[in-house]
Amino acid sequence: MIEQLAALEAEALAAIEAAPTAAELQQVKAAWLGKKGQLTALLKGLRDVAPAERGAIGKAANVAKQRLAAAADARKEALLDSVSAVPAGFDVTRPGTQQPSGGLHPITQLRYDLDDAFTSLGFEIYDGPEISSELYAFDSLNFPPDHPARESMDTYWLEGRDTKTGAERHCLRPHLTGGSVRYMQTHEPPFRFVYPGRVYRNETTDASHERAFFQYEALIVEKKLPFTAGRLLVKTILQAVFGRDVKVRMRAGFFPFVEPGFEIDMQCLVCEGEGCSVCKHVGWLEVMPGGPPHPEVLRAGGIDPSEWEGFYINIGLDRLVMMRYGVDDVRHFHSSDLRFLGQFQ
Amino acid sequence: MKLSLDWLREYVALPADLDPHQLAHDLTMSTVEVEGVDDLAAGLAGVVISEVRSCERHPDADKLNVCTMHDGRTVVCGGSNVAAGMKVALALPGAVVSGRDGKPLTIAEATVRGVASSGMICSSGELGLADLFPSKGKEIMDLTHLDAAVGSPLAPAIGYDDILLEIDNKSLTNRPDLWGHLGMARELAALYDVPLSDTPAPELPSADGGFEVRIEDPRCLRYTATRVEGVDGSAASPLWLAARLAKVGQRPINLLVDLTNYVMMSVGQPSHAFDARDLPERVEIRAARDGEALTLLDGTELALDPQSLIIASHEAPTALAGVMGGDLAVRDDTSALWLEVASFDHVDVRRTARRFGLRTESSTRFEKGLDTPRVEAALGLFQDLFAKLVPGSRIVAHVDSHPRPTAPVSVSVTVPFLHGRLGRELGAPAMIGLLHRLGFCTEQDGDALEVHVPSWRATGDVDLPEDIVEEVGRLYGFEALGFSPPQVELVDPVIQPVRRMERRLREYLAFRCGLREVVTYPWVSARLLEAGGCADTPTLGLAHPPSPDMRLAPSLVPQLLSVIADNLRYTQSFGVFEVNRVFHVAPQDGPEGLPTQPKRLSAAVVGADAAALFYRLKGAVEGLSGGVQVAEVHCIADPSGAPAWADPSAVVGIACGDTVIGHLGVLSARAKRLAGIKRGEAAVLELEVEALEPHASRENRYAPLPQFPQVDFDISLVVDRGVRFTALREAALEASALVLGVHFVDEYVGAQVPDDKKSVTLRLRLGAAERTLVRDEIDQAAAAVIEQLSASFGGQVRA
Repeated sequence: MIEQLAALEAEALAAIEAAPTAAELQQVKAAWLGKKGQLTALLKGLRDVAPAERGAIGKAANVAKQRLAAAADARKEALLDSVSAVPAGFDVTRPGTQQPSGGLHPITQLRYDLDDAFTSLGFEIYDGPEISSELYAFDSLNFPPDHPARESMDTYWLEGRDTKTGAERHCLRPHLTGGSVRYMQTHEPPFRFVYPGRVYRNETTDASHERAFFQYEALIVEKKLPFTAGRLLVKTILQAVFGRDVKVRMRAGFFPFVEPGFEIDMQCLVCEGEGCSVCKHVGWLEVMPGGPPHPEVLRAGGIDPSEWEGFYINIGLDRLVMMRYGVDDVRHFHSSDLRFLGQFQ
Repeated sequence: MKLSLDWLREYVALPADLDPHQLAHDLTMSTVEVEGVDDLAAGLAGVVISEVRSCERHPDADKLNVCTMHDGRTVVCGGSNVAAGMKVALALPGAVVSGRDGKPLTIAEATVRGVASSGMICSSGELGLADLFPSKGKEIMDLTHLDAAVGSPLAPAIGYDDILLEIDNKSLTNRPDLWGHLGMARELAALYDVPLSDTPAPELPSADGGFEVRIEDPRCLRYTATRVEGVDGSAASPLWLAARLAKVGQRPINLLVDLTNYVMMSVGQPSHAFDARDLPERVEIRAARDGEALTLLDGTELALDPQSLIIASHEAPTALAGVMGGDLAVRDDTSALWLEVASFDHVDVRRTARRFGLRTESSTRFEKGLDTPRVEAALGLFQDLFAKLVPGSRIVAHVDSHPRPTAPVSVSVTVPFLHGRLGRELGAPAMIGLLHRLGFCTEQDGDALEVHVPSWRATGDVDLPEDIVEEVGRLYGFEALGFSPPQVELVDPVIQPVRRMERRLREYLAFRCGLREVVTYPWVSARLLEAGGCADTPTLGLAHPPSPDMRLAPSLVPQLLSVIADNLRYTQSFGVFEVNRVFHVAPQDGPEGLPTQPKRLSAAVVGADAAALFYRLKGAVEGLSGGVQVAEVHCIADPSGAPAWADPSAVVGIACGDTVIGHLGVLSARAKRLAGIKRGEAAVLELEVEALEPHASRENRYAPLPQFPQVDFDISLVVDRGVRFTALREAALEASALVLGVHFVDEYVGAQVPDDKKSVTLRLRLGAAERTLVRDEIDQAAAAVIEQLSASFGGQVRA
């Protein structure tokens, strides 16, 4: 009977281990350990066993019963632990749920990158009026009285104001530099600030010309500011923004508000200077004019040019963003087309 | 402007092995932007001078001829003038010419109607030489009179073994001296430190020939008239001279006109050749009188007025000073000239050219500001050219009236100033050497330098110490000056809460609220203004707007509506925002009286369910204060002054404290119709950004966690549709002191409730600060709330 018991236990253990679900485990348990279970039936047969053997067999049967109960409990826990919260055939290859697809305009993104670079160098961020006057847009900036940019053809003069002069002749600002004179008039040097914003030119639009575009101007005024320091500043900023070594070259260029004036080129990051469609096969991109403020501009800002030196840079944001992403048409920036804007995260 | 390298080399001894691209780079870095380097000979590669040995009618085509060329090859030619014995330009297979549509065409071995053809006999147009070799109809280029060996390449034989440099004119505006080959040669001589051959000095007769130059207007700075006799108005220019003009884009006309153009392209000084018969006694340089008229060389009739400076003879205008001559020009039978070489005020020339819409090579140069001594350089070159090219010509009289010579300019600088500005100590001798190379003279006294500016740089270009810094720097090489760290004064930390707030606002809307930032133009059409509720708002206009009905927008909503309409063409649900300035008629304080230009935020969410969109955008407003770190912002129902674009039954005011700073609402059906929004719904908001009050730092305070447990329980009640959540909340809060909060869970309108009712589910939070609630208290509080809500709103309530 001992042998019978051992065989039964082995069989029951195998059935417990094989039970695939908690419900079936319950059935297995009943089939062996229940009132009508096989083990119970076997134990009922004890009556027929010789009394001398009865004690030993009874003991063995109880041990077997306990072992089977423990095995069933362990199996039950294992089955409960492996229950899944998802239905059968759950598809892990389906795309995840999309997050709300908001984002900043690509011009704003670059602007904030520049803000971070400049503010880390202690620059202040300045903001000024978008409708300005001839006084600040031209007179203060050393534009000669007959400069063509003053004509209606190039500047958006306000209706009813276009025939007036100076402070009374209002326009959508044609550049940011006039605003820097406003800053100078209200602050004591030394200072350094940046001045991001949108500017306007009355011109025919095409893939590389816009009526409204973005500039980012920086001005630093100190007791001493040699050309070589301005050059290092330019390089540092571009490096901070693009996160890598950037080759910069400065060449002679003429702008009324700086003296001497420079065109500042940056080696094309797309082709590393080899020449590609983004840089029109030149290897360099004109990114900004710059240079020390013209003495007349400092004077207009109430600053004595014999005492103070400075350095302007005036970054054209549109072109830089176009290079950053390989955008081929400047008009996209004002299109508000979400198929375009949605590409910038 | 185009410059010929060959022409430049006439004046400057450039290194023989100088790569034109290197030259272009060097000029770009130090002086002007070179936009292109064009190898003319490369463009004519594979084009040779050939001779037609025999020419027979094509067997199968009336208008084609089969020609046997000098080397025995056969070429089928459709030229109307082709004939045996003619010297022609032959493009060999592989050569590229200009095709019928102007596109490049590569010549290949071909069979033309059954006859093999190995090349093409070219017309001047096909080689880009139409100016130099004018032709009619289908004529090919006849080179019979060209002194060049048959079989040799075409380019050198016609002076086209040359490089053209294309200069960006914008980069030349401040350099009047560079508007000619001599000026650029002078610059290159300085750049490479090589010798310059200037034009010969003129030796002119002292006799005035009884001619009078009467300058009656200060806008004429100098006027010289030189009489040349023994010329032939019908003579053509020699090929080399015509080729030089054609290469730089100046069409050759006849020798006398070409000479004036040649001198202009050389020394940058415009001039004008009058037939001496048209100026019998004198010229007057004066303001035109009202009613006077002038017919220009090109046939245009100008009505003159006293603003116009003219050259007149016998009371009749003959030229618009510095801009263009009249129709009385050199003619075939011209045998004597009065040659005008003069100088005019640059501002006046620019104004006149602009007023009449006449931009000429002459006005382009004058308006930059030409120095008066340049007249001598032009006369010297004229004298030299007449002697060489017009045998028998004699300069017999010369009159020079020079009331306003270019004033000498000198600039005082010091060596330390130059060193300080450059950032590198080059030393006085090196800097003086660089200035001398550029034609400046210097007087040194210790550290002080008196720099005398050459006349060609003295018309406004160089007059400041900073200009001297530039001259030294660019000739030394800006790149070679190196880097140095800026020495800056330590300043206080920059704290700018408003700037930081604007950035947080954008980032909150983009990244927290899932909206996409857009940027729109500040001008909008009248239709959008009306749609955006601005029909009655006074607006500012532009003198020359991008299109006639565009006005400057006093709100960002009109543009936003167009953004919605445009994007609905591609997508059905989206969210956008814009932070930008708007423009109001009311003037600001201050001397300029500029228009007020407040900064606004606009936003829209677009989709199918207007109510859901409204609540989504409202959620964005309610989260603003925490998300952007600004003083509390909330929405108020039944706002006054709700905007016309909003549906009156779904609009709230946005307030900061007691001040309404904007509105949020569902876009009205009318606004949608006016803006062309044909489907979908939108919730829109606009608020004043500058009314938001940024915290100086993060202001939220820690609240201790509750010491005793709190319990939530939900109740639903069916009430009239008009009952508001705020009323329910107030009532629930009043019902029991244990109610700590009332939160909105859900609202249902539909088949399960009567038509005029809605079911609202609220979640109440119960608790007490000093103890744990027992079951009875919770039940009593819930019962109190239910009783209160039933009493107040008559609704059926179930917990």
